[in-house]
Formats: sequence, C-alpha cells, structure tokens
Amino acid sequence: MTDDRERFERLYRENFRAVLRFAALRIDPERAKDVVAETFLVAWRRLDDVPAEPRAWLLGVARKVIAGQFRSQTRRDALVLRLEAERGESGDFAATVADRDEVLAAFAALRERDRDVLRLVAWDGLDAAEAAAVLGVTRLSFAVRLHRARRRLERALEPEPAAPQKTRRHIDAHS
Amino acid sequence: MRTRKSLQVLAVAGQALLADAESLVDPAEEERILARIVATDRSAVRRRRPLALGLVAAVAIGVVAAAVVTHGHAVRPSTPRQSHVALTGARIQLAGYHFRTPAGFKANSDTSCGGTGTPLAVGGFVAAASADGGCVAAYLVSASETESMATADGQSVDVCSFQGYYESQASGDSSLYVVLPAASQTALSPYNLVLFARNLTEDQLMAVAESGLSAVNYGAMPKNGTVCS
Repeated sequence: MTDDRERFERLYRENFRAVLRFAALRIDPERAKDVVAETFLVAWRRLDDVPAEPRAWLLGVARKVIAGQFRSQTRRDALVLRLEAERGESGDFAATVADRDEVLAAFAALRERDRDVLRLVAWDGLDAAEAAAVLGVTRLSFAVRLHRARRRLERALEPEPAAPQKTRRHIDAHS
Repeated sequence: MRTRKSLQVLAVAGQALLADAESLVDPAEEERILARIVATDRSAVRRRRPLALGLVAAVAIGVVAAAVVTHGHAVRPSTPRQSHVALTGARIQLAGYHFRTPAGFKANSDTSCGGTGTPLAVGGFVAAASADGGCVAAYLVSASETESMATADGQSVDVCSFQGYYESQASGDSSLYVVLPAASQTALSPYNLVLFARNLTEDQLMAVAESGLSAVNYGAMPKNGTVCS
C-alpha cells in the first residue's frame, strides 16, 4: 500500500498540471478543478491499470469525466465565452496579437469535434499516438481527423475574397 | 501562417489560456486535493479495468424523482424480452424507478448481492431483493464510480433504448450497467444504474432493468432516450 501511495503521489505531482490544463481549456475553471480531482481519484482506484506512460491515459479519463458531467452545449459555450473574453482583453495590441485574435476567432468558430483534435496537439502538446489514445481511436483515424481539422482551421483563417473593384478603364467605358 | 503553420500559430495563440489554466490551482490546493484522494478507501471498489463503453450520460436524481412525482408512472408495453421472463416477484424501488423481480423474490435490505464489494450509492439509493439462492441489487452510482467498477470482460447491450454493459462471471454473479438519459440540460451530476445479481440469467437481469426503465416517464428526456416500447 505504501508503494502504491508513493507511486500515486509521484504520478499525481508529475501530471497534475497537464490534467489541469487539459480540463481548464475545455470547461470553466471551477468545474475544471472538480474534473482534475475526479480524474486522479479514478487513477488512485485503478492504479494497477495506469500505464507506465500515464499522461494519455489520464487525459482520456479526464475527457470521459468532462463528457459525463457536463452537457456538450454547456462545455462548448463555456469555451467560446472564454475565447471571446480572451480576444476582447487583447483587442488593442499589436499585429501579433491581432493574429492571435484572428486565430482564436477562427478556432472558436470550428465544430467541437475539430477543436477537440486541434487542442490535443496544439495546446496539450500530445503527439499523434498519445492524442489517438486520449480519444480512443486509431492513430490513422486521428491523423485523418487532424488533417481535416487543420484544413478547416486554415480555411477559416483565409481572408474573405475581396469584392471585384472597377478599374478606371472599366468605369470610363461605362460613363 | 495560414497553411503550414496553423498549428504552431494556434499553439502560440493559446498560451495565455494555458497560463490562466496554470494559475487556477496553487500548490497548497494541489496538496489538499491529493490528501483528499489518498484518504479514500481503494478496497471498496471491485476489479479495476477500463470500461469498454463510455458510461457518460448524466441524470440528476432529483430531477428524475421530480419527474416521477410530477408525471406519475406511465407504464409502457413490455418488450419482447420481458414477455419471455416472468417477473412476478416483489417490486423494489430505487429513486423514481420501480423494478420487478423474478418469481419468488422478496425485497430485503441485503445489498451485497453479486459483488465482492458494494458501490457507493449516490444519496443512499439502493434496493435489493432475493430468493432462495438468488438475489438482485440495484444502485444509482456516479459515472466515475462506475468506471472503476466495470471490467473489460463484458459486452455492450441495449437496455430498452439505452446503452448498457453486461458482464457475468462463472460464479453466477452478473452485473448490468446502464447509461441513464439526461433528465435535464442543467443536470451536472452523472449517474448510472447498476444492477448486481446472483444466479439470474442475462435475460432475467435485462428484464428486471427494463421493467424499471419502462415505468418512468421522462418528461425532459432526449429524443434518443426513449423508454422500452
């Protein structure tokens, strides 16, 4: 039992922040704390099942806890509101910040399914194998989802095509 | 920026959000959470394996109970499965659910049926019945608790139109986990129905579960969560 406790405490300290970030980027802060506590409670109770590289396993549990506790609409709204607040706070900064706002706006406009995939890679820092494990899908399936999500993000970032402008010659020809 | 580097740009754009997340919990609170977790009893849970299906739907007991009180018990026609299983024993009640039990079963307070341990029933919602050599116990259990109970050795089943997970052991013990429908969009506490049984066939245990689920009128239930029909 002592060994179990030592192992769990090490697991907890090494992964607490990663699980906290994972939760906080998906739901509101207060609920994120509950999700983290519940995730590690599951890990404590199922310590024998926790793999040697536990991060993806833990994030997979956290994802299920989030899915189980909070309706998807609530979760989506919370995230979008946070992203909008984030953009609002930085609205008057320099061009790099404007880029960031633009990216966050494009990201917030994506479907939750796409955001989920992009977050795992861009914000949770997982590689494809880990992210696939978190989602419970094959690596190939994850790669396809990521590719499509990136394409949609890139399309959302593309500027609106400018309206055709009448040239001087064009205007003259009709005057 | 718009094509090859979209992920990198997204990563950079999210740095402020990540920083916010980091500051949510200070080291002292982190330690308090750890202390609370390790103070919980690990021995009370059964075998620990990943649950094969995502037992993730949410239901609020209070809302379910309120729905029952408000709408009464709209008993639906029994399913074909039920027609093959005689459930003439005692009825046991769990929150808003009324489960029928096999012939000869009488309600009792021994809820240790069919398991090496008993799950932590939310709000004390647990009910049981037994007969000579057989028993069944029903619990409302939080989804996270269910995750630590079920093994990976069972199979997905349909219980009415709800997603379920059935597992049996050579000893004659069996378990059925049912993802309950969300009774409210604002429900925050997830619960699952868990039935433990001894010396009941799969059909019998399924029929017991369906008898309870068919007797509840979910006024706010999602369209895909219809009761037995």
